[in-house]
Amino acid sequence: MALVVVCCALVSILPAASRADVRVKARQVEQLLDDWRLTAAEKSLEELERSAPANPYVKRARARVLFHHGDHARAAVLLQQIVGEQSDPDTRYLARLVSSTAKLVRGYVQQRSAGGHFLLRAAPGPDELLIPFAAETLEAARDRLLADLGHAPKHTVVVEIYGQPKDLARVSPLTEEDIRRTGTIALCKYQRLMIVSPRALPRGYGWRDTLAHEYAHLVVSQLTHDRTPIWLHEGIAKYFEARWRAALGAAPPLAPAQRHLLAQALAQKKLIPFAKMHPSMAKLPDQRSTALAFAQVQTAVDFLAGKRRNKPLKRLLLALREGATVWEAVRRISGLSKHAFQSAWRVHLEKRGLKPLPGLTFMRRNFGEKKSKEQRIAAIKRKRVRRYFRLADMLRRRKLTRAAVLEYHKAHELSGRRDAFIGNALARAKLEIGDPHAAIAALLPVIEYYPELAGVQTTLGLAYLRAGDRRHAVEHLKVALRINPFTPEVHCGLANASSESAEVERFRAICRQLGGGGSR
Amino acid sequence: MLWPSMRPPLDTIQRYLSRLTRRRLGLVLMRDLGIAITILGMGLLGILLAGLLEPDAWVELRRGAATFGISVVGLWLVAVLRALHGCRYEATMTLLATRHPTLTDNLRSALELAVEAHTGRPRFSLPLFRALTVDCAQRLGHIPPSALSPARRLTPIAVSLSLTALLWAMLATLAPDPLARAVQALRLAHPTASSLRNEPLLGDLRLHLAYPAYMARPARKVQNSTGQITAPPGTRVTLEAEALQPLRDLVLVFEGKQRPAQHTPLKLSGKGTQRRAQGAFVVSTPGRYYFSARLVDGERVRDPAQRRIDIEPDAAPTVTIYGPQDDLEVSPENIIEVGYTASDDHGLRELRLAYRLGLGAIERRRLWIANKGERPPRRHVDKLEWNLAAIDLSQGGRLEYWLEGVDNNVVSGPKVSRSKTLHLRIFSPNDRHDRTLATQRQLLDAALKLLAGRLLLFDEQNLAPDRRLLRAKDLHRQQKRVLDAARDLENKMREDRQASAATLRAVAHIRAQLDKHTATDAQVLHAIGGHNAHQLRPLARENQRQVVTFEDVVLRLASLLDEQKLQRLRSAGERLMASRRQLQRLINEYRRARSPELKQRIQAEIARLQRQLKELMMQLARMEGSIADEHINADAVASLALPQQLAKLDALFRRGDMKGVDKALAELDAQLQSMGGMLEGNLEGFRSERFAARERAFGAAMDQVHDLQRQQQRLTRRTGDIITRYHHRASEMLRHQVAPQLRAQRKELNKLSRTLDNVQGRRLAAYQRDQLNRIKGRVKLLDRALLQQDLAQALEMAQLLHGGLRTLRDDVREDALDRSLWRRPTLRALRRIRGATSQAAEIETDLEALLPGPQRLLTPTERQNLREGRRKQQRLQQELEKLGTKLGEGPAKGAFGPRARQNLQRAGTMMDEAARQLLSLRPKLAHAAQREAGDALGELRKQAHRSRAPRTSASGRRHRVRIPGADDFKAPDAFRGDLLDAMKEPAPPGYDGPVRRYYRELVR
Repeated sequence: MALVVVCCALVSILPAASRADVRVKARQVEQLLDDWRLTAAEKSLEELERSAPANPYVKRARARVLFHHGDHARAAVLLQQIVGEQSDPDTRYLARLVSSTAKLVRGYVQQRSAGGHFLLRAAPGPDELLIPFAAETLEAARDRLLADLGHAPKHTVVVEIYGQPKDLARVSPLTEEDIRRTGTIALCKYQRLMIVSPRALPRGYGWRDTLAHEYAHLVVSQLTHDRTPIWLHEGIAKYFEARWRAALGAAPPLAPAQRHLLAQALAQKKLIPFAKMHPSMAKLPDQRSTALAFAQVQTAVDFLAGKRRNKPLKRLLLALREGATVWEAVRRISGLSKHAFQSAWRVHLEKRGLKPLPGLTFMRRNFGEKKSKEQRIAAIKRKRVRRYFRLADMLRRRKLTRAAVLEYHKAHELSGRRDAFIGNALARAKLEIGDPHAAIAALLPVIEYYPELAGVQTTLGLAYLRAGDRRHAVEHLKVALRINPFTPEVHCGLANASSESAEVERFRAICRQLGGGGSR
Repeated sequence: MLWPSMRPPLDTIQRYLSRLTRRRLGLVLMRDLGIAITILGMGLLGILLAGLLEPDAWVELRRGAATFGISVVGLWLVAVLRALHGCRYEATMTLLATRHPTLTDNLRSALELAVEAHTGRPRFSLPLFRALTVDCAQRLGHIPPSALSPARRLTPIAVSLSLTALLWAMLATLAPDPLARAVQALRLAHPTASSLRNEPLLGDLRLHLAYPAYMARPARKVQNSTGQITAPPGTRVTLEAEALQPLRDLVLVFEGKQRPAQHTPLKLSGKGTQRRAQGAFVVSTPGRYYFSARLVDGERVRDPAQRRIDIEPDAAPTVTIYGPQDDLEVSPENIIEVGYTASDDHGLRELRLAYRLGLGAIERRRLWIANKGERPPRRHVDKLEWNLAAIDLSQGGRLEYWLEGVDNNVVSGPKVSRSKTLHLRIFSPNDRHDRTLATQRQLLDAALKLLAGRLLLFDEQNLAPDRRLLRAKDLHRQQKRVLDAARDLENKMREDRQASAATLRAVAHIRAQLDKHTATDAQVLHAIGGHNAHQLRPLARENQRQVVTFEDVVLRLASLLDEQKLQRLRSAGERLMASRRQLQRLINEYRRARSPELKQRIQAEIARLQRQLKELMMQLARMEGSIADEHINADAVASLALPQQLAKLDALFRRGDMKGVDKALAELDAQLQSMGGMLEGNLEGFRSERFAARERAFGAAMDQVHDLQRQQQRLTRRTGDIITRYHHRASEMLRHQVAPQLRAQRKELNKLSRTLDNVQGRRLAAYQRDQLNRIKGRVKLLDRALLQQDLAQALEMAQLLHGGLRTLRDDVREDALDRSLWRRPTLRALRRIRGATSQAAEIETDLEALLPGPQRLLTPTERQNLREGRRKQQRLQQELEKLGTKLGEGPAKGAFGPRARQNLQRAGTMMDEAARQLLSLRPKLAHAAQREAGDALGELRKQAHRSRAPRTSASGRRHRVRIPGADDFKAPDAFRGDLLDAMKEPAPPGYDGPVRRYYRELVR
C-alpha cells in the first residue's frame, strides 16, 4: 500500500520536478550567456530544447541566444509568446529591449566581412559607406587579438551601426542623458558590437578605433567569462583599440588630451579611483572624467603589460577566468599587491614625464548639428581675432585669397598657433594660393594637440598631397577617414595619393559616390 | 413626237406649226418683259441712289422716275406688239427652214398643195400628196418644238434679272434704312406749291419751347418770333400764329438734311379773317421749315420765309483732374489725394475714376452719382483719397488714371467725357530698399577689393619701388571711386525711407571717414619725392593706417548690411501686423454691412497678407548662410505655421463662418506677435553681438533717460499731490463764500456754450471739429464743477478749456486765411471761436482770482516739500546735462537721432522753470513745467527708438494736392465788366427777351 502511495506521490510530483529541472537548466543556459559563453550556452540549449521545446524558460533562453546572435525579430516573437506566461520584470524588460532593437534594425542593410567573422548592419543610406571599412578594421583587430590574447569568438559577431545616439539608448540600458553627458558612443553587449555613426557628431569621432575597442571588450568578456572588472576591461580595450592598425610591437598611443589630463590629474592628485569606474565608464560625471579614466586604465594596463607587451595580459585574463580576483591575478603576473600596484603605476606615470600641454582645450564630444561658420566665428572669444577672421573670410569669399591670408595671419597670431579653427582656415587659404608648405606649417602645431580633428587632418593630408609627399598625405587622410569618412575630399585625396591601384579604385568610387570631383 | 395614227397628217402639221409659233411668241414676250423689268429695276435703283445723294431733288426725281417708268412700259408694249406681229406662220417656217431646209421645202409644198387639195380638184396625185404630208408629219414628229426654240435663249435675260434682284437684295440687306428712306422719299415727294407768295401767310408767330425734362430748364415763350429756332433735341415746339390770308389748310413742311420733308398739318381755328394756326413738333435734327397752305380758292401757296431750326448741342461734361506730379514714383501702400472739378451745361449724373495698370483692363470706380429725385447739379467739386493698397499693384509698373464725367442727357443718350490722364509709377518700397542694399553690397565689395590691394601693397617683397608707387597711385584712384560710391549710397539712403536714421548716420560717418582718409592719402602721395624704398616709407605708414581704416569700414559696412536685412525682416513683420489690423477693421465693417464689395476687399486683404508672408519667408531663406542662424531663427518662424493659419482663415471666411474667423484672427494675432517678438529679438541679438559698444552705450543711455523720466514723473506726482491738497483746502474754505460768484460764472459759461453751438462745423477740418467737440465736453465738465462748487476742479477745467480754445482759434485762423485751401472755415466761425476764447479767458481769470494763492494755503510741511522738490529737480537737471554731454560724444554719439538735442534742451529748460516756480511756491506752474519736462524725456526715448527703425510709416505717404476753389471758376473781373457794359446797350426791337436770355446764359 505504501509503495503504491509512494509511487503515486512520485508520479504526481515528477512533472513538477521535471519542470523545475527545465527551469534550472534554462537558467544555467542564461548564466552561460551572462558569462559570455555563447557557444556553450547554445549547446546546452539544444539539448534542453529536445526535451522541453515549449517550456517558457527554454523559449526565453532561446530568445536570448537569438538576440545575442543578432536575430532580433525571431527573438522578439518568442518573447512575445512568453511575456504573458512569465510576467517577471526581467522578461518584460527583455521583451521590450528585443522588440525595440528589432524595430530599429528592420530594413538595415547587412553585409558579411571578408573573413566571414562579422556580420555588419547599418541603416540604408550614407552609413552604408562605413560597412566595408568597419569590416576591415574588425578583421584586422580579430587577427591581432587572436595573436595577442589567443582568443577569437567562434560565432559570427553581429555589428550594428546606428544613426543617432538616441538609437543606442533604445537598444541598451544607457539613457540618452548618459550618452550625451559622458560621450559614450559605442557598446559591447549581448555578444554584439553597437556603435553610433560618426555622422551623428559634428566633428565625427575615432569610430574605427572604437569598433576595435568594443571588439576587444568582446574578446575579454568571452575570455574571462565576464569576470574582468570594469577598469581592467576598459584598460585592455583602450590598450588594444589601435592595435589593428599599429605596427607590430608598437606601444599603444596616448593622445595629447590624455597626456594632458593625466599630467593635470597627477599634479593635482585627482586621479579617478578604479572603483568609481564601476559599473560603467558611462556613469562618470562628465566627458572629461571619462577621458581621464580611460587614460588612466590604458596606462595601467600598459604598465601591467610592461616590456613583454601582451603575454602578461593573456595570463592575467586567464587567471581571472579561473576565478582569481583581479588583484590576485595582478599579483600573479606582476608580483604586486593592489596597493603596491597602484603606487607603482603612479610612479610609472610620473616617470613618463607627462606634462600638461599649455593652452590645450579639452574637446568634448558634441552631438547634434554641425555649427555654422557664423556660429563658430561668434564663438571666438577675442574680439580682435573675430574681426580679423571675419575680414579674412570676406576677402576669401571674394577670391581675394592672398589678402585673406594676411588677415588670417593676424587672427592666427593673436589666437595662438594651436587654434584649430583659425589654423585650418589659414591652411586652406594657403592651399588656395598654392603654398602647401605654409599650410603644413600652420597645421602641424594644431595636430600636435588635436590629432582627433578630422578637418585639420584632411587639410593636412591635402597639403601634403599638393606638396608631393604622398606618404604623409595618405597617413593624414587615413586619420581623417578614421574620424569622419563622409567628407568627399578624404576619399578623393586618398584616390590621388594612394599607390595601390585597388585602393585608388576604391577611393575613387567613394569619391564619386559622395559627389567629390577631386580625383584624377 | 409622232402624230397619233388616227389624225390626218395635215392636222398634225398644223398643230405642230401652231405650237411652235406659240412657243416662240411666249419666249419673246418673256424676254422683252425681262428686259423691261431689268431696265426698270436698275433705273429705279439709280434714281433712288441719285435721290440719296441729292436729297433736295426728290420731287424732280419722282417726276423722272414716273417718266422713265412710263417710257419703259411703253417700250415694252411696243415690243410685245412687234413680237405678236413677228410670231406668225411665215416666221415659224423661216425658223424651221434654218434648221431643216428640206423638210421646210416639203412642208411648204405640202401646205400649198393642201390648199389646192381642199378645192377637190388637185392637179397632183393625192396619194403622193398624202405620202408627202405623212412624211412631213412624221418627220416633224421627230423634231420637238423646244429644239427649234430653246428656252435657253432666255438665259441672258434671266442672268440680268437675277443680277438686278441680287443688287436689290444686297442693298436691302446692307443698307435697308437708306433704301427705305429713299423709297419713302420718292414716294412722298410732292411738288412744291405751285406759287410762292410775296407776302407771308402767317404773322405774329409765337413759339413755346418745352425743353427736355432732364435739362430741368424752364419752358420758354417767344413772342413775335422770327420763327428761327435754336433748341436742343427733344424740345417740343408749339407754335401759334395768326393767318394773314384766308386759308383752307396749313402745313408746316420741315426739310432736314438727309431726311425726306416732313409735313405737319397745323390746326386752323377761328372764323373768317381771324384765323389762328396752331401746331407742335419735336426738334430732333437741324433743318429748315416753311409753311405751305391752300387758299380758299384752292390755290396751293407757300410762305416766302424759310426758317431755320438749329440744334443746340448738349455738350459733354468738362472734367478736370488734379493729382500729384505726373509719373511720380509712389509705393503700393501710398494714399494719393486726387482733386477734381466737373461741370456740364445741363447737369451731371455720375463721376468715375478710371485707371489701368500697364496694358491691363480698365477699372472704374464710381466717385459720385447725382441723387435721384433732385436736380442734377451742373458743377461738382471734390477730393478723393485714393488708397492704392486696395488695388493689386504688386507687380509694379505704370498706373494711368483719369476721371470720367457722365451727363444727364436722356434724349440722345448720356455723354461721357474724360479728364486728362495722369500717371503714377508704382514701385515697392522694398524695390527701392533692394537697390540701396545692392549699392551697399557693391560698396562693400569695392571696399574689400581696395583693402586687399592695400594689404598686399607692401607685402610683396620683390616688387620694385617705382612699381609699388604706381600701384599705390592706382589704389588711390580706386579709393576715390569707393568714396564716390559711398556718397552715392548716402544719397540713396536718404531717399530710401526703409533705411533707419541710425543707419543713415552710420553710412554718413563712414563716408566722412573715407573722405578724410582719401584726402590724407592724396597728400602723402603728393609729398613723395622719389620712389626708392626709403622715400616710400611715409607711404608704407600711411598705407598701414589706410588698412586699419578700411578694415573698420568693411566690417561696419558688412554689419550694417546684415543689420538692415534683419531690420527689413522686422519691418516685414510689422507690416504683417498692420495688415492684420486692417483686416480686422474690414471684418468688423463687414459684420455691420455685408456688401459684396467689402467681401472682395477682405479677400484681397487676405491675399495680400499671404503675399507679404511669403515674401518674409523668402527673405529668411535668402539670409540663411550669410547671417548666423541664431539671428534668423528661420525654423522657429516656420514652426508658427502662419501660411496654414492664413489659409484656414481664408477658408473660414469664404464659408461665412464668422465665429471661426474671429477665432482664427485671434490665433493669427498671437502668432504674429510671437513672430514679431522673435524678429525683434533677432535684431537686438545681432546688434548686441556686432555693435556691442554702440549697443551698450545706447542701452546705457536709454536706461538713463528712462530713469530720469521716472524720477521726473515722481517729482511731478508729488507736486501734483501738494496742489490737490491745497486746492481741496481752498474749496472747502471758500465753498460758501464763493457760491454766488460761481453761479455767475455758470451764467457766463452758458453764454460761452451758446457761442460754441453757433459755430458751424461744416467748414472746419475734421480734426478741428473733433477739437470743438472736446471743448464742448470740457464746458460740461466745468459746469459740473461749478455746480458742485469745487473751485479747484473748476479752475483746472477752465484752464483746459481756455487752452483748448486758444489752440482751436489759432488753427482755425490759420486755415481761414490760407487761400490755398479748397475749403476754408468761414470768418464768422472764426469770430465766434475768438469770442468764446475771450469768454473762457475771463472765466479762468475770475476763477483764479477767487482761488486764494498757494502762499496763503500751503502748510509749512508742504512748503518744505516744495523746497525739497526743487533741490531734487535741480539734481535731476544736472544728471540731464551729463547725459547730454554723453550723447554728444563717444559710442553713444548720435544714437538718439538728430532731434535729441532739442528734446534735451526742452527738458532742461522745463526743469529749470519748474525749479524756479517751486522756489516761488507756485506749485501749479511748477507742475506744468514738470509735466512738460517728463513729456520731453518721453519724446526723447521715442525718438531714440524711431531713429533705429525705418523712416517710413505704415500708413504710407500722402501727396497733398491743391484743388482750386469755386472762386477760380468765376469769370474774371474784366470780362464781367465788359458784359455789364454790353448789357447796358439797348437791344434791337423785339429782341429784348432773347438778348436778356443770352446774357443770362453767358454768365451762368
